[in-house]
Amino acid sequence: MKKRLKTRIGRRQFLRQSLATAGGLTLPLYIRPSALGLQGRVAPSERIVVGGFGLGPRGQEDLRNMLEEPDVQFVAICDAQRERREQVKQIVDRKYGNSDCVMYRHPFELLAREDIDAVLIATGDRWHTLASILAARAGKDVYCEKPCSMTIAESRALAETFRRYGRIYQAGTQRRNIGNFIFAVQLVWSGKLGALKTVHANTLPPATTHEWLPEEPLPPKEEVDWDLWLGPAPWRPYNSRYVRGGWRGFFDFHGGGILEWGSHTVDLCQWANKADNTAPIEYEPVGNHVHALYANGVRLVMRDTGWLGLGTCSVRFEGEEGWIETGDTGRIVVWPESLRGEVPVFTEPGTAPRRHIRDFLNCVKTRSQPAANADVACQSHIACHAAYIAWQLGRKLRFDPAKDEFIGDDEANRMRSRAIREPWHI
Amino acid sequence: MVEGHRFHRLLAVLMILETVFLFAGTQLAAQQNIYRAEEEPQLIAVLKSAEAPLFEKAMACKKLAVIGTARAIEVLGQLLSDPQLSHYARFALEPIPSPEVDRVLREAAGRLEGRLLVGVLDSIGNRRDAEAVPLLEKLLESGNEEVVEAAAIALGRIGTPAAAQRLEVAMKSPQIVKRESAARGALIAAERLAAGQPLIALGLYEAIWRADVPANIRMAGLRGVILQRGETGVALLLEQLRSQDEEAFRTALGAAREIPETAGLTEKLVGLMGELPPPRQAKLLSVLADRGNPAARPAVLGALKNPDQEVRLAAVRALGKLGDASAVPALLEVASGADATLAEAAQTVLASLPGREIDEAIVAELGAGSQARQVVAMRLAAQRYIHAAVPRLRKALEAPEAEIRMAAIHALGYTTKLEDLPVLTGRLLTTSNAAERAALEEALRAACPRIPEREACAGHLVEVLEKAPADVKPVIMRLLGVVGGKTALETLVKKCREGDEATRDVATQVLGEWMGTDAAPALLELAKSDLPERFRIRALRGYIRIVRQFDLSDSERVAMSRQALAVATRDAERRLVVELLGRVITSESLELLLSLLDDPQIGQDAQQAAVTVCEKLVASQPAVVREAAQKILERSKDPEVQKRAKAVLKRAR
Repeated sequence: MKKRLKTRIGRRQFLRQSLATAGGLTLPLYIRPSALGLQGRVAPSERIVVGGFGLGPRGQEDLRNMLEEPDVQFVAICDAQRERREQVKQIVDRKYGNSDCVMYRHPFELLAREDIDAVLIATGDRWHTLASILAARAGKDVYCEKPCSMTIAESRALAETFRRYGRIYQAGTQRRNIGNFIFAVQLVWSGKLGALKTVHANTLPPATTHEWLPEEPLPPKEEVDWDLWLGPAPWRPYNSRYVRGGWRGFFDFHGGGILEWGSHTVDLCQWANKADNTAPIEYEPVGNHVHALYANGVRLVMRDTGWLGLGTCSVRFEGEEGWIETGDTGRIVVWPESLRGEVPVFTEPGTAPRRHIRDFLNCVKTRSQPAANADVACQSHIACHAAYIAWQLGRKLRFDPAKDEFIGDDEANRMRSRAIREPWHI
Repeated sequence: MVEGHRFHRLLAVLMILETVFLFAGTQLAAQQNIYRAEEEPQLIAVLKSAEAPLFEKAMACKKLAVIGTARAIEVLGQLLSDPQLSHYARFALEPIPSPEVDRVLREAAGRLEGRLLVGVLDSIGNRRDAEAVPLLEKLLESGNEEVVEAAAIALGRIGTPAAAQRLEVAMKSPQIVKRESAARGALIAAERLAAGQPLIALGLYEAIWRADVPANIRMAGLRGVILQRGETGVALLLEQLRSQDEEAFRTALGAAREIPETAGLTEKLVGLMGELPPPRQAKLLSVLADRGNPAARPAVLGALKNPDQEVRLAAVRALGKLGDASAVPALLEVASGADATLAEAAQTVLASLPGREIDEAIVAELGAGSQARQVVAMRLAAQRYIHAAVPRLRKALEAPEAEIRMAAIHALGYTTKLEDLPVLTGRLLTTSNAAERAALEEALRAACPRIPEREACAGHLVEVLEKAPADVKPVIMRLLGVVGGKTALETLVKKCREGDEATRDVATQVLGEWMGTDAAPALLELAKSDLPERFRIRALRGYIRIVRQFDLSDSERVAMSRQALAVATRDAERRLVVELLGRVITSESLELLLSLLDDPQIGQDAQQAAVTVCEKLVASQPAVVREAAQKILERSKDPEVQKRAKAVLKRAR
């Protein structure tokens, strides 16, 4: 049965205005399959039509991998920056040998398209939850780069929304689909390391700053739509460094170094500890590290030093009878020596998104849950946020994962959410 | 293709570095412990001040969000109507645990309009202020669509029966915006009510499902109805799985994974398979796999014989979650079949199914069945590192079919332990078949580094080396390089000193690629020895490689560089040392480089490396850098080096 009504994303008024004033942008709300130039490749019923939000360097890497999948047809890009929109259009048009990739400035323009099944989101962190939730509400499945949320409350809202609307979500953390990390987790589960005692997650220095960069003249909206770029984040004066990727390290835009890599590595630790449906119950800052404790007695150490040098985003799992450490190079070190014989050779880097994207696309079709689904991402992000809050407050915190609530610490509880800038809401 | 792959790997690494660099490059102000309760009066004063800069007011709001009390509410409430600070005011107000905040927000909602009102409504919803229900109901009538939506979502978050009742009424509105917004809000309210007021929640879900709203919202309602009905939801689930409505079918696929197991549910889902067309059967198999009930296993195994390829493929994948040892023969049949897609999928599943029982089932398959099946079973034994397969693999070495023998050799490379190693090495010494010898070499390269008894493994290889024919000796020496350790190192050094030309050639190559710092002293000694020049140079380059690549302290690196310079007789190796010193950012490294500034051959290289070290050292050791940069300026004639030296000198001052 066809959809009876065109999906209203909200703010019809906005759409009417934007459609009327889009100028050079052509904004079809629906593209006929015959216009997609894909006849004979993949049956239309099996084709996944994809749009993108905010695809910078990492997003463009995801995009290139996605374009290699025969059942993907990428049709539109949305970005607050003209230069980025045009970069993506060029990549897509070159791939398809046409000029069909449509550019949008505002998310609602893209989300209003009924033909789009799924979206790839790789904006700055501040937009990840909001864009994902807007997409889910518009009936789209989502592949979103990490970190997926800015706060504990956003993490929970993300998981709830994707369940509510029955949409598929894959966090762009990829390592649950990378061989060496899978092997490390399975080795823990096999019991060959003995009872799991401690899991270690490679993080970066936690600090961010509240400072503002000096104000620069606001560029024309068509070049950089600053209000849109800020999105749900608090207003601050424009500075070009932010929009050129220099937003990292600023509290309003970035969740800090624990979340930056913890969204990968804490996530793997949760997985190894079979703790995907919970989070640690204690968090204690120790310098730039945070030591956490799960209810099952397993310790989680989030640290930026002391690694064996096996690559970025390393993890280490220690049991009573042995340990394993691995990282983005694919290399693995194990103890005791007797385990060496079971270690395969892995060459795929931890940053490679291809398998993770394929996992997502398969789930779009089967409606199964991908490896880094919204529930999984929610809990691992909550662990990272809780750790960062403990670090900011400089004290040990106790946490109730069932309620997403710190125990006996009002200040910590008040840091679980941040009001979102109008007119946005999640 | 390969180049493209490399490029993208490089790109991925660069992006990681970019993240680290950008992050580390941000000048981060101290940010711990910035929330101090005693500062509240000053923060309130900042907000009241006409002169305070916007940034200070913004920061005051951020801090009050954590430490603010009832004393801050009044001034924050006033800021709600300030277009620049309204959001910051909500940032502070939302988390303050006082009913006074709710009153202030309701009051603001009564006087604000447009975007600022939308923000305030969001805060009211986040605080779940039940007293705001009448106000929100009124705002559902607003002419501003954003306000209507915000009011409906807020009602949903409040989620009381009263709020739900307002939303249910609004879903029948003739205005599409109101209907749709109310349905979205009702979805949230239904979740809030599901546990405590299940009948109200179910009523809401049913109303949403029936509402005249976009399909994706109705489908969210349908999901809710299926799950909220409990056991009676099963009938609706099955009905939707049979539905001609593709969206309803897809929604049911999702709900089928969430609905709890009830008596006979799996059997009902299995029974439905026969009613559905193949594409839907394939998707239902995926559901059965996710649900994980082993009662579905016979049906999934049966689907391996389905005439439709898509169904068979889905069945193979489903066995990745539902399979046990009983599935191994059937999967092996598919894995060795003619359909490449199915075969690859089945092999992947067989390689990844967990458990010793699977290993045993695969071993039981070795030595029986078709040649193709034998080869696949051996490949799986290798992929799963099944040591118990070794006796059968040894037997397969004597098979008349070359393909089976080769597969057995390959598999032994991944399954053998120390005690079985002579099977491979013995055959290597006796075989005259070139292909088999290549396979044995590859198997030994796989086996040797896996054997935990490193010294014993090396000891065995040394024994083999002594009796190996000349054309096999290089292979064994290379294997010693792969194994590493004391015995291997001593043997290779001995071969360098005592061997013939060909032996020395291989031994120095292996030592030059040694994977550890333990070879460094021996390489340095060889570089100083009376070996022919090409071997000495190779040893020195191997030594420099260790200094450059391996995990050493900076001081060790500089000391070893000094040794290398003392031994080096050619400029090429001295340049390599200078280049690596340019990466060691210490005063000791700088000092060594400065001693080379006047060298007629490598002086320019030293000047460039020295200025690089200066640039990275200037922040921590300006005095050392000042002196060094002055020396570089005096010696260098390269304008680029001079420019950089001047710049660093300026920074050092």
